[in-house]
Amino acid sequence: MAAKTIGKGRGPLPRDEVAGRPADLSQKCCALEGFTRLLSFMPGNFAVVLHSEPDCANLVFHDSRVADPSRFFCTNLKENDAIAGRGRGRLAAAVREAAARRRPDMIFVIGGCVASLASDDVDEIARTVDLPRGIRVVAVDGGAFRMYGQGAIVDWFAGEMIGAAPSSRRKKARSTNLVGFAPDGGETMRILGRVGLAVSAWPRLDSPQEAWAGLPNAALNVVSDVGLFSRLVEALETRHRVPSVEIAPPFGVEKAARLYSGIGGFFGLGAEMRAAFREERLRAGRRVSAFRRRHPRRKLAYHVGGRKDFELHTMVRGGLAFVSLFEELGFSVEVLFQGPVEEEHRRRIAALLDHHGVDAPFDCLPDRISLTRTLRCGGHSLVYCSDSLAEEAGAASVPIVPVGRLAPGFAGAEANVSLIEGLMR
Amino acid sequence: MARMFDMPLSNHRRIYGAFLAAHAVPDAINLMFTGVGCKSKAQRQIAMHDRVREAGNKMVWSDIGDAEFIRGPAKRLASMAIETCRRRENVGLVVVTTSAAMEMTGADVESELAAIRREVGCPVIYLPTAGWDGDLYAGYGEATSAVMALAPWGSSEGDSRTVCVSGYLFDRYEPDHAANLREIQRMLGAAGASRGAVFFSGSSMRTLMEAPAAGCHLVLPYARRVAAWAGRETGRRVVATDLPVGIAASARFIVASARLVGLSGETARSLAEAESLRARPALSGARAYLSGLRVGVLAETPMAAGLCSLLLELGMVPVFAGLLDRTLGGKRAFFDALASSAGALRGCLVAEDPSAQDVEDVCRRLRGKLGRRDRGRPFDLLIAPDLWLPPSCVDGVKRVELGFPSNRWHPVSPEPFIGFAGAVALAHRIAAAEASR
Repeated sequence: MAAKTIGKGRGPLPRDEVAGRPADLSQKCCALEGFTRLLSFMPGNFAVVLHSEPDCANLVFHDSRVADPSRFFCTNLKENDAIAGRGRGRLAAAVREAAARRRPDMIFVIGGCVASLASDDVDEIARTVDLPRGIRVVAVDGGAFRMYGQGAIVDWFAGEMIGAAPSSRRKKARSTNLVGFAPDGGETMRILGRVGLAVSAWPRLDSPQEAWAGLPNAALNVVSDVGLFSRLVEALETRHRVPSVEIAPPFGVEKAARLYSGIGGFFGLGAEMRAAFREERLRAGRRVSAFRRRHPRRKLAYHVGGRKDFELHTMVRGGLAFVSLFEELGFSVEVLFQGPVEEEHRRRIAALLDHHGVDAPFDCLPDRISLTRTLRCGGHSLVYCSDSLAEEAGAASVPIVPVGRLAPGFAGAEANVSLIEGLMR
Repeated sequence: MARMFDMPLSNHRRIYGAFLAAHAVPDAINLMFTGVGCKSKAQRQIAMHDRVREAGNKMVWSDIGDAEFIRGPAKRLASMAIETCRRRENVGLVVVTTSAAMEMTGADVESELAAIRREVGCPVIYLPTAGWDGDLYAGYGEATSAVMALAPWGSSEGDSRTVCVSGYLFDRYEPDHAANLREIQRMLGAAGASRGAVFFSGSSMRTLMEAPAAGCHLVLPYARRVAAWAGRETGRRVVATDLPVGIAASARFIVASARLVGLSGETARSLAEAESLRARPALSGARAYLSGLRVGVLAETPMAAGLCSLLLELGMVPVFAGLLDRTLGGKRAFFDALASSAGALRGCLVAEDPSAQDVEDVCRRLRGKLGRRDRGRPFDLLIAPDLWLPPSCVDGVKRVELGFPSNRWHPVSPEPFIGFAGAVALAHRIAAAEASR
């Protein structure tokens, strides 16, 4: 995998010393939790078999927001099954039942902690079940105390999605994919369209498999974070011959300009592209400059690690993708990490900040209630954090910019100024 | 009953019930001695249901990974509990829960609990909550018993007119529950009693530990197992009653309460009749245009029985009751709670612990009975929590969201569903849903 990175040169991505995976400071999860979360919201003709006790099936979302939880099956292991080694037979039977009842294109088979403790090889069982032709089986051995960062799950998930994509029959010469970018109200498509470029595929994490299947058709693949989509990037480059470029998500005026310029540059349209977004850039830049004049020398607390939502804004670039936006607005940013406070962890954080090109001071908070104390004595005007921390921030009388509320692109930059000014009032 | 590999519509287990109990006690924390994914079995479930009190800081999880597992996971439990209580300073109760996998490791939790109890300066209860079976109501009931057992019942005989209530399912700090608790207080007052501690009600441990000030004890269906223990261990008079949803069950609640505090049967019945008479005019107005509408109900057994009773009082026709629990008595308890109204439900299909597939099967049968009229809708109205259901079951059906989870219904003013006031408020909601397009 050799995705070119547009932006700051950075140090290597630190690795988790125990698991050997790239360090990820998001709240940890198990693979069963991560995959059920992502698959709960994904439309499409697939089934999911959880190999676990019934309680783990509680991780499947059941409410009216989701796309058909009856696609999920569970081996509903009892204690006796686990101890007596009956789990394997139950799993094979459950996979067959899922195939017969749903007639899916794809079956995800996901093992939980109990299955792992009982040494049930989910991958082997799933591969050997006799199923009708044409059903793709994806096995995820997910449990037994293996702690994954949310980013690792997304990487795995996206790899499976591109793994199911057919080879391209017809490449679109002047088109690009966007992977790991938030919807922007059509700005990117509009600006690319001005220079004759198009978006080939722009899958979101809750897109149906068909949206991922369009990725091999593009001439270029742009990812917001190559660490988050490493399997996808590798598959596109080696199997489908689609080159990848990593460009930071367009939060803030300069980052938006960099995204559009980067894409234009790849196609040899750098000058045309800069002209294409000149007006939007000027207008957004004026709003940002005016904000900086009105609110000089403000300090912002940037909280990381408070969410387990498998959303891009939590995971892209270690959750640090918005630091530059606040710096652009003139804030002096202090990054607060919720999690272990030991020196070893601090070293990893420092390396991660360096990797992501963030040059801001940081501190570690052992738990969420520590946020109140930190804000009370920190002199912060604003805190960027999960809205679930409203009580803790409120106790320190510091207004919050909720994670997930900031918008991308030039139009987003203007909307963000309005939002933040409103909150500071 | 869900098929072998299906997931029931409501799949919450003991670990969530215990968490819910901790959520209902503001100064309690839930220490989850589990793998890293289990956190989402608790706080996430309530995140959209309770918009008043965020539950994220309620929970501390031990994050047992490979390394901790090898080093001895129970050690981490003690260090987490002690460190958390030291930092928070005002913890009133620690509720320790476990997962199936953690119990399979054979970690010696009990010996670590002794160390925790020595250090933290507040009660610590241990609830093994392996998710092999049971449901949230079992977990909530077990937490209720464990917390009640902490109260100093031997310290006094208690006031003979004050009633302690257990088994109130307090799942959020929103105005529906505040109104329910006020209605319980009002009904107890109408029965000549006063309300003591309610397990649980959003009250702190200090308030709950004043429960022995009550001389008698009313047990709601969610804490049925408490009844025998309370009679034996607390020295109080104990009466178990149905969930007071609908006029008939609310009247039985008044009678039970009045008898509990020593009033005669005749006096108790006349107090109940007076309360019922006051509520009936409001219901008869709604009855005029709700009468004859076919209704489906999805709720745990006591609530389903109460709702079906209310629907009959409104002249409506319950055609389907899906009982969303596994431990509250099923069909038998459902029909027992309906008492004399049970006969009126002869045509009602009742399913225990249904999956989405089961509900779809029921709806197919209901449509078959109807023939071509009603454009294929199995029922006109559905009273249910915010659960996903197959489109063939709910397309064109009016909905009233009630129960856990209510992710979309968040009352801004007091809207009870318990007692006489609750019957009237529910009738308003049903009528408003029916009138909606």
